[in-house]
Formats: sequence, structure tokens, C-alpha cells
Amino acid sequence: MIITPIQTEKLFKNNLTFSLLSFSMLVTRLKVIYENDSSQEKLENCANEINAFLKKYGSIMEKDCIDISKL
Amino acid sequence: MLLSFEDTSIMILSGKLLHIAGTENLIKKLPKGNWIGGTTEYFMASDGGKVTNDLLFVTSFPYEKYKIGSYDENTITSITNDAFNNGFSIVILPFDSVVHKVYADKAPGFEGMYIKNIAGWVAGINLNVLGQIPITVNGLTGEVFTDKAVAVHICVPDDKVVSIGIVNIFKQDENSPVFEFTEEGFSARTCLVNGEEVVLADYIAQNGINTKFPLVGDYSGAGINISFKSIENGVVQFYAPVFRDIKYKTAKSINDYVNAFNDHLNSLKNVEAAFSCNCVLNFLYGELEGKDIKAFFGPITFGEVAYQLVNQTLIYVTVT
Repeated sequence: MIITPIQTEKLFKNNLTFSLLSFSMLVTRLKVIYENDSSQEKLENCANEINAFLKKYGSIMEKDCIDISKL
Repeated sequence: MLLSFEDTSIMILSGKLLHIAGTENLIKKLPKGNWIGGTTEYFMASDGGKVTNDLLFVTSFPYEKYKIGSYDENTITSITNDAFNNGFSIVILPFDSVVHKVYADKAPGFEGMYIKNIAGWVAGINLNVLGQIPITVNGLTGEVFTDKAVAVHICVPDDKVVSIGIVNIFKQDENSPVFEFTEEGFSARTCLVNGEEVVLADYIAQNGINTKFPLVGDYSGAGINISFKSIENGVVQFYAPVFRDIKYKTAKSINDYVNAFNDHLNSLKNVEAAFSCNCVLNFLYGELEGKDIKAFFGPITFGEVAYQLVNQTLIYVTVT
């Protein structure tokens, strides 16, 4: 799956919880980065980082992917 | 598994890739080979929690592609670059060393952290024996360190997926106020409690907070612990750094550590860990010596690494 910058922003604002520890930690870090610099460029960087993660680990985070796809 | 010095030496000499935990006197004398090690005398074995200075806890990794390295406070940032794209790394940090503190403070920002799988632990001592020093060993070179981390980076086949999990028996107490810190680090004089600045040591005393239980930070649903170390001259010391932008609460009280662990482990009974370790504070506060924890055997450690430094937590690596 691929997450858009708009979905990324919703991901940060919706306080979702995740099954995979590394994804929980990654989203928390990116959320802080975006809170400190809410530019479009930063949001796109965050979306890219999340997409790289989902590409690698999507197969073991099915439930999380379903939740994210609903954003 | 817990092995004698002789049996551990035989395994090393057979060429296997090993992770070894044990007392300083033994791991310093082991032969060179494909291994890394660190000090602890506390273990969770298949027959219960043990404190021993004549056995070593040995974990064998059945993988052919790997590299072993050591890192100081300036080079530790490259640990994620050295990790294989599909694999995992086990890092061992000497307790209270500069590299321990740099890793604790900076690991969340290392390039590729969370996409690469970095697990590990902090080497320590027997708390009842004077004169010991936490050390790490690069078994490949025979080097012994008090000031460097050692790591083994392991590559797994392309059809395998690695992840790192935690068993945290603590969760945020829903009745706790929210603690936030304006300065990051291993200590705090003041913090915000529900947005109001307080002297943390005074707040702990006035509110009867049990410092055997950690503060629990909320990481998008994952509870990450910060354990209390001491309160000295009005400054609260922690075993891991507190971070700005993380909301902490006190942990919900636990009456029976062993049951709490086993309840959590029951939900993970189909999980086969390639590596695991558990915290010495769980071992001591839970009085786990001689008691059976049903799975996830390994060294008992002075801080755990599940990507970043965590406390009072069992961590495990899976390859599926």
C-alpha cells in the first residue's frame, strides 16, 4: 500500500495505535518532526519514510494497513 | 542456553556465530571466534531465573552472512548503516559508558532506525559483588571494552521478515497525571505535571509514587518505560533518557510479577525468538530468581535495546 501526504497528516492527528513496535516508534518520531516543522516538504518526507516502511513490513502488519487505508 | 566455559569454548571453536553473556572473568578468557559478548551474572534459563558466575548464556544464530564490529560514542551513529537491509543487529553497550548515553539519547534519530532492526542490551555487573566493571567483548578480535559497544549484524534470507517485539508488563495508569519534560536526558529536576511545572522529587514524595514502577511513555499505543534509578540532591535520575514531546504516565501497579509475565507470554506462545533478554529490575523487583518464566530465555540486563533504549522490559527478535 502507499500512503499519501494527506493520509500521513491524518495518521499524525488521529492518534491511531499499531501492532508493530517499530512502526509505533517511527510514527511517534515523525509526528514530532512534523509538529516542529509543518511544511509540505516535511510532510512528503514523512510520507516517503512511512511508505518505505510499509513496503518492507506490510506483510506482517495487515491490521495496521487496514486501519491506515481507512484514513 | 546456559553452558559451562568448556562447552562454550567448544561451540566457539566449531565456528558457530554466537552471542554470549556472562561474568567478566569467563568471557574475557574465551577463545577468539565468531561471537560478541557482554557481562551479566543474571539469567532467565529454561529452569528459572539464575544468578551465576560459572555459566555463560549462549545464543547461536544459524545464519551465514554477518559482520561483527565495535563502536565508540562517535561511530555509534553508523550502526544502522552497518546493519543489513534484511536482517537484525544485536548491540551490547557497557553500562554508564559514554557510548551507552549517546545511544540512549540519539538512537531514535539514527538514519534508518526502525526500518533496520537493532536489538540488544546494556552490560552490567553483579550488584552484590564489589569491584566488577561492565564490559563488552568483540570475540572476533579478542578486544575487551569498557567504553565501546559491540554489535553483530546478521543478514537473513530474502523470504524472511524480522521484527523486534517487547513484553512490557506495565501500562499507563489511566488515573495518572501526564508528565512532560522540557529537557531531555537521564535526569530531571523539574517537569510538567498536567501542564504545571513541579519539582519532580518533591512531587514523587508528596504523592507517594512507587519508584519501583516506571514512567510509561506513549509511543502511538506502545508503552515504553523509563525506570527510576535514584533521587539525589533533589534530582531524579533515570535508567533511560526522558524525551520532550512524549507524554508519560505512572505505571499501573502490579502485585504479582511472575503471573504478569506469564499472562503476557501466554499470548505469545507460538512466537519463537531468535534472541531475547529481560531487565534486571524485573528480575530483582519481581524476585524472579528460581522462578519459572515460560519462554524467552536469555541474559538479564541493565537496559534493553528494542531499536531505542528501553527499561524494565523483555525484548525479543523474531525471524518469520
